[in-house]
Amino acid sequence: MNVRDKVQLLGSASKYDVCSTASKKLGKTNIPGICTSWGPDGRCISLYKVLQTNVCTNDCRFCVNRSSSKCKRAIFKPEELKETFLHLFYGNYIDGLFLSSGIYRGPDETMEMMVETVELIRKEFKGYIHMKIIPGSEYHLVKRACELADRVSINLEAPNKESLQILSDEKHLRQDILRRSAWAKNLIRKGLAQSGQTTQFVVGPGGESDYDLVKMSRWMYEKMELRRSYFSAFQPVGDTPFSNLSRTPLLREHRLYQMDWLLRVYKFDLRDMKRVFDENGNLPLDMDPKYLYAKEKGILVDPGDATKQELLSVPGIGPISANRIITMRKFGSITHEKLKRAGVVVKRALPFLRLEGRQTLLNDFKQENKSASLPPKSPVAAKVRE
Amino acid sequence: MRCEYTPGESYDEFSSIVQEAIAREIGDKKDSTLKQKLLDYEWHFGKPKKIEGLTKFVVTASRYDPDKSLVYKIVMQALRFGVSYILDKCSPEAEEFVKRYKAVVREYSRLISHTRFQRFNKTLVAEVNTKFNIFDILLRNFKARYRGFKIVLLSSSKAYIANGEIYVVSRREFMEQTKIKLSRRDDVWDTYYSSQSISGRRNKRHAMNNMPKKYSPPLEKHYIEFGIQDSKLTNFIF
Repeated sequence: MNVRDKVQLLGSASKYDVCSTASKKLGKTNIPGICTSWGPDGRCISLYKVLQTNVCTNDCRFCVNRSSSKCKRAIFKPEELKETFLHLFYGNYIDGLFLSSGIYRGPDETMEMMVETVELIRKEFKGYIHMKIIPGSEYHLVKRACELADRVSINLEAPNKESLQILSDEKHLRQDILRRSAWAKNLIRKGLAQSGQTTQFVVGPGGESDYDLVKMSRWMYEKMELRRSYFSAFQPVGDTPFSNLSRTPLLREHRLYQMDWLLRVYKFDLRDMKRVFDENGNLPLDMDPKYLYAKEKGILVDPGDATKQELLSVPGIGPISANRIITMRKFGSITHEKLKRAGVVVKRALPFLRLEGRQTLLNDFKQENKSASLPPKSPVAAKVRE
Repeated sequence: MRCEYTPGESYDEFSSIVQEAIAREIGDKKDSTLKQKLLDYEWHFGKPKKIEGLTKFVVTASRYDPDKSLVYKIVMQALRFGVSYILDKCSPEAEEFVKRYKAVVREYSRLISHTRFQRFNKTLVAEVNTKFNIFDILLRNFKARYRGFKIVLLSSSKAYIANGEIYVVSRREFMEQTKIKLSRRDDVWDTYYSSQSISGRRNKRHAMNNMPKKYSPPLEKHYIEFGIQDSKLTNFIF
C-alpha cells in the first residue's frame, strides 16, 4: 500500500475523533481556534487528524475499526507519517497534529510506535501536537506522551460503567481509563502537556441520559482537571453491530455543548441547572438551555446596576457584552441602542431585562421599530417582504 | 528595492500615530498647555495592559484605509475618556473603528489560514490577494512560523520577499529570475481532504458561511477547496 492510500485510509478512520486547537501555544505564532480549512461537510480542519494504524485488537461495537470489521488495514511507519505531516505543515494546510491509533498487538506496542513518530516530528516541528493515550498503556509511556505533546486525551466514551459495557467488552472505566487520566493530571501539574487533557463521549448508543453525561463531565473537570470534554453524536457505520441503530440527532450534541459552556465558562451551578432537564434526565431539543433556565427561574435584570453574573444569566448576553454593559453604564443609562452596540442579542434578551425602571417586552421593542419606519435594507430584502 | 513600509515594532507604529493625532489636535486648537498634557498620553491611558490593547487595535485598524482621520479621532477619544471607552464601543466612532479593526483581523486571520505555500528547497511561495495593507504582518507571521525558510508572497503585481528583511520586487521580475512554476493542486492534501467528510454531519448552511470562496484562484471561483468533486459543487453554491 502506498503512502497516498494510507493518507486516505487512516485519515478517514480518524474522522470521528473530535478535537480543536484551543491552545495558547498553538504554533506559537497563530491565533487560537483558526481553521486552516473547512471540510466538505462544513467542519473545521485545523489539525492533521490521523491514526498510526487502524489495526485494532478491541472489538468496540460502535467503532469502524473494530477487530471483527472486514475493512482494509494499514500501518503508518513513523518516517512516512513524519514526511506526510511536514509536507502538509509547510503547505500551510494544517496547524498541528492529532495522533490517535487502533490498538496494534497491545497498548504498549501502540504507544511506543506513536511516541517514536512524535519524537521524529518534534525534531523539526515545535507547534501543537495532540496525542491520544491508549487505554491500558504503561506509566512511562503516558509520561513520555505528556513530555512530547501539548495536549493529551483519553476517551471515556460513556459516562458510567453500565453504558461503557454496552459499547465495549474490553474497556474498563476505572482501571484502563480513569487511572491513565489521573496519571496525566499529575504529569500536567508538573508542567508537562501544557494544554492539558481532554476526553470524548459517544452520545446515544450507551443509553445514557444527558444529565449523566453532563454530571460525569463536571466530575472530570473537577477531579481530573480536564480542559474540555467533547460530545460526539453517534453515527452508525457499516460492518458493526450498531449499524442498524438510528443516529443521534446533532441537536442533542449541540444542547450538550451549550450546557457544558454554561457550566464551564459562565460558571453556572449544575444543581441549579437541574431544572432544565426533563424527567428522563435529557435536555429538551427545542429550546436553548439558558433560555429555559431564565424562563423557569423568572429572571428579570436591570442592566443599570446588575452584577456581571446576573447579566450573564440573561439569554443573549455573554461575557464580552456583559463587560461592555458594565463599562457603558459609567457613561450614561443603558438603552436599546447601547445594548445592540454592546453585542447583546436584543431580541433574546429583552424579555428578561428591566430598562429604565420597567420590564421591556419584546412587543414594545417591535412597536418602536415599526414607528421608526426604517427603509428596507436592500432591494432584495424588500422583494422578500413583498 | 526595500519595502516602503518596513515593519517596525507595533508600539513604535502606535506611538507615531498617537503623536500625529496629538499634533493635529494642537494644530487646530493652538493651545500650548494642552500640548504637554496630551504628550503624557501614557499617563492618561493608565494601565500598561490597556495601552497594549489599544496599540493592537490602533495599529491594526490603521491598515484598513490610507485615510487615517478616524484613527486620529479615536486616539483623542481614548486620551479624553480612557481606553475602555473605545474598546467597549461607547461612541459611534468607536463602533466604526472596532468594525474596521475586525475587518482587518478577519482578513488577516483568513489569509494566515488559507494561504497555500509551495515548497522550493528552502523557499515557500504563495499567492495572496488582499485589499488591506497587511503584507508585512503576514510575512512576519509566516517567517516566525516557518523558521529557516524564505517566504515569498505574490500579489497580482508584486512579490514580497521575507529573508531577514522584507523586500519588494515586481512579480514578473521574480518569476523570470527564479523560473518557479506554481501548481494549483496538492495530491496529498486533496486525498486527505476528501477523506474527512462525514455525510451524516453535513451542515450545508455552516459550510456556505465559512467557505473561503474569495481566496480560491479566479479560474476555480466556486471550488471551495480543491478536494471537492465537481458533481458536489452545487451543494455549496447558491
